[in-house]
Amino acid sequence: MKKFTLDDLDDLLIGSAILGSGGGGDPSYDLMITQYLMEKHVSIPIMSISELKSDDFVIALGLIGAPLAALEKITKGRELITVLELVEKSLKRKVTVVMPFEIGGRNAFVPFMAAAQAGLPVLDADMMGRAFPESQMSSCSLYDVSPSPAFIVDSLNNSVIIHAKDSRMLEKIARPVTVTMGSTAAFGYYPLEGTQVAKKVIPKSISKALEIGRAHKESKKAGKDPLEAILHNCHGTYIGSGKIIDIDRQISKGFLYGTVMIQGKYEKIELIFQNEYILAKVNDQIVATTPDILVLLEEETGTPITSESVQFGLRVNLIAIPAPSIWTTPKGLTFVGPREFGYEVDYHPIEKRKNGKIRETFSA
Amino acid sequence: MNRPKYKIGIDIGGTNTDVVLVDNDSAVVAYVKTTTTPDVDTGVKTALKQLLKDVKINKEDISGIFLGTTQIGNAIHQRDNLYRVGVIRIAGHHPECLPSCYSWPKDLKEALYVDTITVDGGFECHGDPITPTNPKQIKEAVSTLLNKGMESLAVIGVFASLNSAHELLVKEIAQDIAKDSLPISLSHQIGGAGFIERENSTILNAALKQIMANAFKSLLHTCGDLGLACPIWITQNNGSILDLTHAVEYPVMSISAGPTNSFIGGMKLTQLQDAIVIDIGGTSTDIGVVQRGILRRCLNNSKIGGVTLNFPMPDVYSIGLGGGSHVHITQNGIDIGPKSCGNKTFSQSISFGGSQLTLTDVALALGYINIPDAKPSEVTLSHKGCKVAIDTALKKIYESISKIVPDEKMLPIVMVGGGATLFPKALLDGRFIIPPFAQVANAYGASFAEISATVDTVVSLQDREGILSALHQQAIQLTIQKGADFQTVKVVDVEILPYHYIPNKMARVIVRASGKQPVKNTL
Repeated sequence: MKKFTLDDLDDLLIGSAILGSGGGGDPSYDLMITQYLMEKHVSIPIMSISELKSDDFVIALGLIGAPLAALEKITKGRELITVLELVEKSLKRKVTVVMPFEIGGRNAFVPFMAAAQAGLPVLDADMMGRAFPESQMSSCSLYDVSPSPAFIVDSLNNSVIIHAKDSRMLEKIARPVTVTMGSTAAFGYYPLEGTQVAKKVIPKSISKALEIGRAHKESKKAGKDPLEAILHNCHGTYIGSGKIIDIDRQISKGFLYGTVMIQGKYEKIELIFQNEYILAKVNDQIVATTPDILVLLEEETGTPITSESVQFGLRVNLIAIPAPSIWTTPKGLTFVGPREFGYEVDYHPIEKRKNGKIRETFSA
Repeated sequence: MNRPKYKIGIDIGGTNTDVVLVDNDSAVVAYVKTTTTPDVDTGVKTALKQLLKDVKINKEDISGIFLGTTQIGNAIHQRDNLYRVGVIRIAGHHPECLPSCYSWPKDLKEALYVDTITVDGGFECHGDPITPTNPKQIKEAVSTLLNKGMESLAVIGVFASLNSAHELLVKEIAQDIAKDSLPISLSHQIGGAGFIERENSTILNAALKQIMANAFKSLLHTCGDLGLACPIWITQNNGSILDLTHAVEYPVMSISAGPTNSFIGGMKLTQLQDAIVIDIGGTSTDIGVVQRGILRRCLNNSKIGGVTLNFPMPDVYSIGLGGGSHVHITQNGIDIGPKSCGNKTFSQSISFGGSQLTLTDVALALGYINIPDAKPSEVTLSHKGCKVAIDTALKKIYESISKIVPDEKMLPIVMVGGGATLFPKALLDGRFIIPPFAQVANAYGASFAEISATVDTVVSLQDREGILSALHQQAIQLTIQKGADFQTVKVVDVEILPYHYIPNKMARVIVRASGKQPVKNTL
């Protein structure tokens, strides 16, 4: 079994931010909390799907709510242990392996917070392959796994067990519960038997995030621009560069909607977001959409920038990374395609788009 | 009534204290440079006395004294002159996995941190308390911290920007116990987004109150003794000014004022709207960028001394290179700094009878600069070695410039500060400009500061127009209260950062209003 150590934290930060497609929240506190919890248990085992045994019992963990609420009412860490205790009490089964629900953004750290406290391994997989704004946009939802029971625990030890008939209903019930809890809570979703896991999750998510982070780090050490390393590592497509000249942000229905305007040398780039970056246009032509992963990188440092923290005047590079394959199937697109976000356009994979303004696609 | 004709700009650096007299047309009338004294005050007195002697003007014609300093920033960088800080966190859910000062440089933490005690209370984003407060618990916390050696208290409550009641309660209880002898810093008055960053700012503020108590409280007396009755303003990180009373309460607002002033001074001396400004001091070189007349700032992740603060700070790139920098000969060549003789350069350098080879020695030995009483003949480094040293220093500067302006555009580079003359024109490419009075650019820059007030709060935008208008008015009122000429006050900056996933359209709103210094003496 591979081991996750304190040295991997920074790589996970970058990798999960890139896979976060502009969303996923600010992970700085989550990294520090994970680091603090890991100081006593210096390494955490990362288990691959093939290493799962039939009697293993797995649950996906994460934080739900407003990232900004978690930046004030700091996560206690203990909430996750209460989730595990609740699972055991209500299902009479002990969780033996934890996994991230969402590899994009701060939720990548959450299973490690639990693993450090409970002495458990973390499964190298997740249920989104990136970040998405709503929980029904997950692999278990796509594969019709029952979302019941789901567990939500806050830092004052209030807890709710939800039995919902489907994943969309789970999301609808979970939101007002989270708001009542102060808009920040820990959750455990989709408890799975060891034998069920393989077909219901996206494999190797943690390895992928760490690989991206390492490639970023190595290129910086060598004094090179991390942009090339990321394009190569992720089989990404470069869309354009420029300076941020306008940002329009609105809150609606609890999501951060908006547009970022980027002025390039000869082109105007428009990046539309709904927490995550959803759609990119170059000179008013659509060049990339969800579920492909759109990444905005700061030109100077190669650091990924979220839709929350993008600022006027920053010089940026915009790239697109191919979506995890489960999302580009006809059924997958009914969950996360452009139409699900209100854009009446068809999805075209970034690898296949032909547009004279896009530079060559990088491949291994 | 006489219209005041002059302003005095002062810069208290690590090595030098500079005083400048500026007239109504923004011209430098006179200036004095003297060594910064350990007590700060003596140096200021010496310089002001000299200035008033050199120029025959009516003291009533001076409308204000504008002071910027790197002393506050230096206290942090040198881990010196700091109070021991006790922290009370008001967080009813008792988060234990993210301690105070967690990712601080260890030596800075050791220099100022006593302990943290978490008490019940704090607020949820929807306005309800997390848990009720417990006055007995707060009392015990204050007493425990005092027993552990706390000299200054920092109080941080969850969502205190939304509701300051719990922080004010802790202050009341602490004042009951310690009477007036305990300086108290409340996070809601200091700001910064995020609990940890606000905690960082508040802890630093609490620690820095010592240097304010030692160095600046006596300024009022000094000026009074010299017959100067005009207001004293301290410049802030954002280039505006704070009256002395407020500045002593919120030293963290002035940490980066020194570099801000030199960048503004460099810009004003050259009349350039777009430029890179380099301030070469005794210990450090600070580099900043001015674009369209505005100093580039960082909003998120602003750091000082390795600590993340998250409030708007000038975007300064600093390197440990200055006139007093130690020059070491290594196997691979010659290294400059980061250690420096600082304000002891003119006694510890070889040319001044000391034993430390500094950049000043090298420049003197090469004949680039001339200082009376200096004996550059004592410098044993060869002519070739000296040239390598200067080249190495210049190379460091070029490297730093390319790090902060990755633009292909060749912006002019304005060099200011005492160390600007270390490099002869012949060695600098066509982009470099050293304006007249470059050595006192920071004192000059200080005199341009406007009076401003910032409202940084979390509100509901349900009635968007109504609440924004109210916050605009609040910022304008605060600015007028601080002494600005009410006819010139207007809102200059509005930033709205909505919180998503939180109901009631909550958002962090930052409104800054600014106005000109009053023309008439209002005292």
